Amino acid sequence: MTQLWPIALIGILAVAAAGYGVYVLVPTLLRPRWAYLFGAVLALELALFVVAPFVGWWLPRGVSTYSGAVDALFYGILAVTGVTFIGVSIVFTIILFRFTADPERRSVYTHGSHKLEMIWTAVPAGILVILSIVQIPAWLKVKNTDWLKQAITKGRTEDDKRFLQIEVTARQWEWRIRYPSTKHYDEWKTPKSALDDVRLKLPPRPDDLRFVNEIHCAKGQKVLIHLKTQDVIHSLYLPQMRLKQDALPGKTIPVWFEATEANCFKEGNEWKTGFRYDDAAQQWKKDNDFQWEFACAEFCGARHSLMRGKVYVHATEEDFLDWLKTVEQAQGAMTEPAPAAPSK
Amino acid sequence: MTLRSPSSRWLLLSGVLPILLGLLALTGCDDAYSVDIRYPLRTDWMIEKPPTLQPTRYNPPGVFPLYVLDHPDTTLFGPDRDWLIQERDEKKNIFDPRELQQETKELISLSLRELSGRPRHPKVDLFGSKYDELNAKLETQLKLDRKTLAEGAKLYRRHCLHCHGVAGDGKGPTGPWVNPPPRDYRQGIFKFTSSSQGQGERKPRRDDLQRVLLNGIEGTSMPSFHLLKSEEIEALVSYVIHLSIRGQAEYVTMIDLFKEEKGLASPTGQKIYERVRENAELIANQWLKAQESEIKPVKIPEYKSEDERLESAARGFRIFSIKEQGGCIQCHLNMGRDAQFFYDAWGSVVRPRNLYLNQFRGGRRPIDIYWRIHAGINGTGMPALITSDADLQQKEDWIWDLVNFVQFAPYPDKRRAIQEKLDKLQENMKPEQRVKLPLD
Repeated sequence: MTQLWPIALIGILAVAAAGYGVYVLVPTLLRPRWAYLFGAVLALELALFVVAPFVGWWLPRGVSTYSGAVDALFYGILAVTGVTFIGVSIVFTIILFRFTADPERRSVYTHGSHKLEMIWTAVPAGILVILSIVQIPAWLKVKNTDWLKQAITKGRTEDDKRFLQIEVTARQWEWRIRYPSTKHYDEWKTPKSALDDVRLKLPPRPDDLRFVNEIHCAKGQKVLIHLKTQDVIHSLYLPQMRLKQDALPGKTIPVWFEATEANCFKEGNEWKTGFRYDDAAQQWKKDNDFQWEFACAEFCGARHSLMRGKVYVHATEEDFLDWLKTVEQAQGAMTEPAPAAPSK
Repeated sequence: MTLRSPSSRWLLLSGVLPILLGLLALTGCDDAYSVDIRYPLRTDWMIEKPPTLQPTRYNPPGVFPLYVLDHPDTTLFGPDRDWLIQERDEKKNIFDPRELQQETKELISLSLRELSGRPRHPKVDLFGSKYDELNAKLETQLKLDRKTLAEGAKLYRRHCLHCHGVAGDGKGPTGPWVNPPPRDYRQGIFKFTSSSQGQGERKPRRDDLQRVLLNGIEGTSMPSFHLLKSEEIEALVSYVIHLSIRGQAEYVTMIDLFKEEKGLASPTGQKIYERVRENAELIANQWLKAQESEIKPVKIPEYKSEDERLESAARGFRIFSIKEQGGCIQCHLNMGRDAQFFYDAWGSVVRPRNLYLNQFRGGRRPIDIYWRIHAGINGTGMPALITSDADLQQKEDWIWDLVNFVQFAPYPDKRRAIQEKLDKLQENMKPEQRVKLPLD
């Protein structure tokens, strides 16, 4: 985004210069100069909105099963607030223009309009009611009561795929992540074993694999995150997955996502992220939209801004297990040098 | 009545000004330090050997334990304050660098600046042709060249300084508020090392420091810097070594001056300059030697099943509890849950680890725990199990048994499994020879 700073700077400077020019250069010719200034600012703000999606100042790529639903909701709300914004801006500018300060004009005293009050209370209330109904399916999709219920009652989901459970522990200022060992991951083939683990929120085991600031999973695999925090309130935010959940001290909160696209591949011993698989060319291509991350979205202290990590979505379950095995080898090391450390 | 008064024009101007100033701020600042900024000379309490008395409590937030010696609030530490003052007066093991003569302090400061430069232009350079070889070695083997150090200094200011301080004294602004306190590099002691030098002169290998930076330290405020590039981590490691060499040269020189009772006299400039140089040479050589003396396990056991590891863990617990063997339980009372407080080499209050807590500060790989048991933890009361080659031959199996025990101990179900193995192991023993693992 840094390359967009000049545009923003020039924009803001232009507005400042325009306002100043209007004020100094045409002082008496155009009396309602404030109207020009505010009108120009509002028009530029609107223009920015129109331009933003084309210069990449927009939502990050949505790559989870429910990102579409969340985005639809966002666009719906944007439409409502956008129309309101344009309407208010126009009225505001016109009023500034028409009723500029005039010593000749007498003030008008009014006790208000009951009808108007009714309308501007009822319309937003109606919109809010509609929104609150419209968001229900999206909410259900995100909190997915369906598959979580299946996972908790049967240990298996309808599509009959294994899901991955990880524990993410936030602390000032990093994410500590606990993965199951490959052995335990294998055991989740039997629903009972997976069921116990969901219910016990992934009980700690001696062969757990611990990793910092990197979430790994496979494409098309549901990931159940048991979210915890060690100290203050943090918030786990995976923008590309459209997932955000506060972590509260003393609580273990389950959240989940399922990635629909992969963003990493193995080159030599290293897992490289930030790549898109090009079906036509049959190879991985560098693409900044595929550089996925997660971050803390709740101000948690001085180094809050550095509390972030990378998301690696492997193309297949085998790839993911391959990575898990390298971690397992590194953590079982009884001598140095340990087997090559996993991706960096 | 006119609308356009001259003052309203200035009003608008003054409205535009903040916008312009704000834009100026957006362009960002150069985070390089001014050349005028120097490493501060040490002014805080120095301990030569950790106080032997046992403190009764942790330090209150915001006050380092040794600060209590001249803190205006005399009630802060309870009885510990008086005991500490008594011990200082009797044993003379705590020194106050502020007591040095102004002239001496200036000379030390100057010689240190010759040695290590300033935060803006850090270096490690023992001037003089007789040190040429050593200087070259430091650059190639320890990567203490000026370019890496300058890069490291920049990163250090951004990521580490707020706890570890400008001079690496562990007394940055956020330092006193975290427990355990941030490491003070100026004594040249680092807790988690894998080199085989003697306890006093042991330095970490670059890999050890790098591992700490990459993984952070569980259970402390040290976070992971996993997202930095590997060159950046390397640069930070170099800079930490630089700070440590500078700090230890200062520390050793000052302690020497105090012990010779000359600290209050005014030695000639040349003498202090030479002393700092010689100490730095000694320290640099220790660092160089550490890089080549990694502790490598000789026998690496292979376990075919978890059962075998549990049997090993059961043997490990016997070694843990029997005084003549490991005797770990003497400090790790009730598996470390009832452990006493101690002062460590930095004068901060520490406790032996609670083994049921599932926290492994030095790393949780078997090799990490092997190193901790083999060589102890520097600066703390944790002693080395192995002190000679003969020891190693005899006791290496013990280490692996202990490693297995320590790895399994935090898990209640594994503890029960270990107890079963113990029962089998101790079947034919006399009751007084048996040990019992506290299950919960």
